Amino acid sequence: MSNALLGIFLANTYSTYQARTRLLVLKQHLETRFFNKAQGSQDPANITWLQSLGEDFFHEINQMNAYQVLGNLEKEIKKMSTLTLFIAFSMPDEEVNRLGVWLRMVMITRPNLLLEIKIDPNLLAGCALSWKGIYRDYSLRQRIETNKEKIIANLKNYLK
Amino acid sequence: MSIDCVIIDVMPTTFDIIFILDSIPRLPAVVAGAVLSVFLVLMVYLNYTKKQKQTSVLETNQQKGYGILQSAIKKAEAIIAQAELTGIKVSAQSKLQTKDLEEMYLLSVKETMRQSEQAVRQSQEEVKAYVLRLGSQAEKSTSQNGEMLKQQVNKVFETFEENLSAFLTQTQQQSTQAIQLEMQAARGLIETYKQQQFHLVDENVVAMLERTLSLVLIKKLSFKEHVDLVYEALEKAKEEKFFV
Repeated sequence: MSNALLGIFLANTYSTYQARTRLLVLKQHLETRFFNKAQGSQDPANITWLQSLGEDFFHEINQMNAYQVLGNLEKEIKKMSTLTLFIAFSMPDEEVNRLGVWLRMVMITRPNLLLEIKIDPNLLAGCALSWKGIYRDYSLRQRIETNKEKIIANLKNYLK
Repeated sequence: MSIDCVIIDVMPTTFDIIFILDSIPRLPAVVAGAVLSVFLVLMVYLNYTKKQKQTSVLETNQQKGYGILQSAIKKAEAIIAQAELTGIKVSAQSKLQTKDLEEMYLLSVKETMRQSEQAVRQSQEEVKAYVLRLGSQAEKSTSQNGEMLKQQVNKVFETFEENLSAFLTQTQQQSTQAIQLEMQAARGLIETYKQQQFHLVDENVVAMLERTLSLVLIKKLSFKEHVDLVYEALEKAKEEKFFV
């Protein structure tokens, strides 16, 4: 499998959740296409995504290598480095895509960077990041914790 | 006695006869019988003669014995009479001596009694004097002991007073120190407890603040503001070159 397929696949895919979901969508599509399996109802967003792949994507895929291609894609995606983003609220796909675009723009050397979005309401606001095994908290909770003494002092002054 | 012995010695014994017979050469029976008869007659005669002699000796000796016996009796009677006289004399003398001895004994006993009484009286006097002396000594000793005892008791009381005073002072100091230490420890505990409580309050204040903010921010912050805060955080991470 050429890197071109992986590049096309990840072009509009910015999170690991999206990647896993779209692998299933692609599998269903290929099974319907090459093995005449019945296709269930599809999310319009997924249909749009499939269409965005273009015919060039499917040009190298046939009945013989469909599963192999899917397997390789899955392996490559699993191998890819991900930036884990902890946020306090649930983020819709559009916002995830926007965030993905921004991050890939910031991290030019990693055009296929994937995000792992995790919800942690205790963060209050902002986010925390985990990259290559290092965790750093940029949330409001951490800011409060860092400035705890000041906050307490201010509160005490206020109470006086 | 010598004659009897000779006669008895002349008398042949049966062994002598058998010897004689054996020494005689073998003679005809008639001659032998005749010799034996003569020998036997001789023997009988000699025996008779011997008995006669013995009888006469015995009689003589008997007569002599009677004489000797009478003489002995007479002498014995004389001796007895003499002895009786001597006994009477001795008895009389012993009676006299016994009487003298009794008198002497009585005198001696009286003297001894007198001396004993005197000795007892003297002893009584001595004992009485000794008891009196002992009494006075005891009285003197008692007074001396009482004085000494009084002095010792006074000394003991003084020492006890000093020791008690020192002990009380020491105890007071120790108690003061112990109380001060206790107070210090209590103050430390109170301070620690105060700090812990302040820390707890601070923690609770922070927790309450976080809780309040979590409740408030959900309602007050819009989605865009949330997203903007995320981008702000990412910008900060970018500035810190966390993921670049």
